[in-house]
Amino acid sequence: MTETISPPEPGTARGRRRRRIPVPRLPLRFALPLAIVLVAVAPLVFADAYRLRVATAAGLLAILALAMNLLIGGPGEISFAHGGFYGVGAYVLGILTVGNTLSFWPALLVATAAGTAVGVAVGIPALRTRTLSFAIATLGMGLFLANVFGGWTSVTGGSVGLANIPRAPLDGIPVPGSIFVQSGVRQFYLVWLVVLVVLVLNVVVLRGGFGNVLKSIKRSEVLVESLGFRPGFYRLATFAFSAGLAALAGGMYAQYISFVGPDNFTIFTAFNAIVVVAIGGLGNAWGTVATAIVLTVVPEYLHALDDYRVVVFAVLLFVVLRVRAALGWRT
Amino acid sequence: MGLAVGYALNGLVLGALYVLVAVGLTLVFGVLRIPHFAHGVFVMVAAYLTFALVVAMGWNLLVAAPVVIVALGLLGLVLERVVYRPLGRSGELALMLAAFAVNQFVQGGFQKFFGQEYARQVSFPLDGSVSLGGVTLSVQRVIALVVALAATAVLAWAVRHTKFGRATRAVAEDPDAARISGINVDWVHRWVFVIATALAGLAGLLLATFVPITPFLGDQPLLVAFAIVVVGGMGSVVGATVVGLALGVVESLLAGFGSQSWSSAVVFLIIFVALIARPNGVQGARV
Repeated sequence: MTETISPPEPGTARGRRRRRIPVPRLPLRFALPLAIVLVAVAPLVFADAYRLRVATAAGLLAILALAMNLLIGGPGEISFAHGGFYGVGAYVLGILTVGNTLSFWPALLVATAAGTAVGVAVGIPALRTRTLSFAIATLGMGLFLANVFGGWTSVTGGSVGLANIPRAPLDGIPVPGSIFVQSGVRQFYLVWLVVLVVLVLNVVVLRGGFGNVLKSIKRSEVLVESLGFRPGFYRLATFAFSAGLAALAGGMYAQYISFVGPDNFTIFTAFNAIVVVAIGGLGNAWGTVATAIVLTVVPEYLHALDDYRVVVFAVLLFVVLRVRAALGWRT
Repeated sequence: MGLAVGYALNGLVLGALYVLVAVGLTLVFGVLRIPHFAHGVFVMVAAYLTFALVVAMGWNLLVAAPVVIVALGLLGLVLERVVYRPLGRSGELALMLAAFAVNQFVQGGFQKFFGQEYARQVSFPLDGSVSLGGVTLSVQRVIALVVALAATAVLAWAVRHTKFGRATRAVAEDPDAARISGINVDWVHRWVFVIATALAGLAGLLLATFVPITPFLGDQPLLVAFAIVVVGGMGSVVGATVVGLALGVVESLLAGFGSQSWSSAVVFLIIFVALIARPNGVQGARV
């Protein structure tokens, strides 16, 4: 009669106790200077425009993934609307700068604010639901926003999209890497500067007092409420902040590519970000950035496997999940 | 008026096919707790298999039907054992990501091997149409509607009144209590998954006679089915049926009188609003 009668321990497979291996964490005061140095010297090492483009693309993915990381690592919710918020940022920046309504920097600010506002508008009703209902509610919203980008032709350009979006005015800023690479190095520094800022925001929000409240909400909302915090406010604030960061990522993307079209802002965009966060360690900002780099760079070397890219990634994702299950990490 | 009724009836057929996908999804979700993002690829695989048997090999659709359904059930059996069970209790997010990986794997593979070819379709063996109070509906649509609704009704009855159905509801309610009561939880999980994929197979078989077969055939039904599951109450077969039929009619009317591209936008907005208004689903019941 040694069968388990008591409910199984959370995080164990069917009640059997398994050894849990802790998630590695890097303290910010060591990691940040290291990251800054790495970003600073990277263009000198790459020294060619193609690699610099790949590295910039990795940075753009990292910003979006970090936005998602905040939501998954904080309130523990998954959002499929983030592809839409990403699109809001990209389209707002595109519309404002193509029409010369605003210059780049104020436009980027407005784009981020617009994403935050849409995040609040979506979040207030959607956050009434939890976990899977929330995921599906945001799925509905993500699909709706994608339809708006494709269908509201007079504003978004419809399926044709918006072209000739001006890039960030960076010419003239002296940059050490430009000795080796003429073009692209300023964009690289700009994108990775944003990555580092968003990364620090992630770490500060998730590990500070705010993050502690979020963590407690995940354990017990009633308990947090009894301590005088309002869980609803914390959840909404994180969601809106995350949406704003996604819009910032969208703005950065739009100015870098100089074009926005409806195909780039679907629920699959959100899903890619979720995959990056999942492999990166769910709430682990450094892991998220590292995964964004790996998932951007590796396919560039897998041209032989180009046709099977999707299949290879699916297998990779499954292997990661399997390993996490074997280590006893709860996903 | 006649036009509206015609659209509504076509929508009912569309809705019945959505329901077939949605009841499987709702069972897998309610009992196994898997948000099964790969459910749509079963529909797609079944459509390709139907094409292979009926068009390439010249079988009769009636002979091919049981083969397709059993084959899809077997596929579900393998998948549950190989992919989902090993992930065990590592959480809903892990299961969702695994499901998406399966989706990408199968869809990517089919796109690689069949994606470049022209979209194909299976012709329905019976022609003709039925007139009903001034509105005509093709025999094909009538049969699809009847088959889909009959399969759903049998499932709803089985969940309510058979021993297996009782065990299924017990597992959905509380897996640990069910295990203590002597119910083989793994066994229930396995068969619920097999039944769900077999139903998706039936949906794919029927769908193959209506729309061109592409690797993305299952995407739209999957997304709508997810909406149906959430709005209809997760795990509720009756809720899924009501909401599915209603959503099919709404989409068909919107596409008929409005524009095609906005009809899906409105449907997704309806989902969002309905979900917010009733966070636990319209029915709110479990299985």
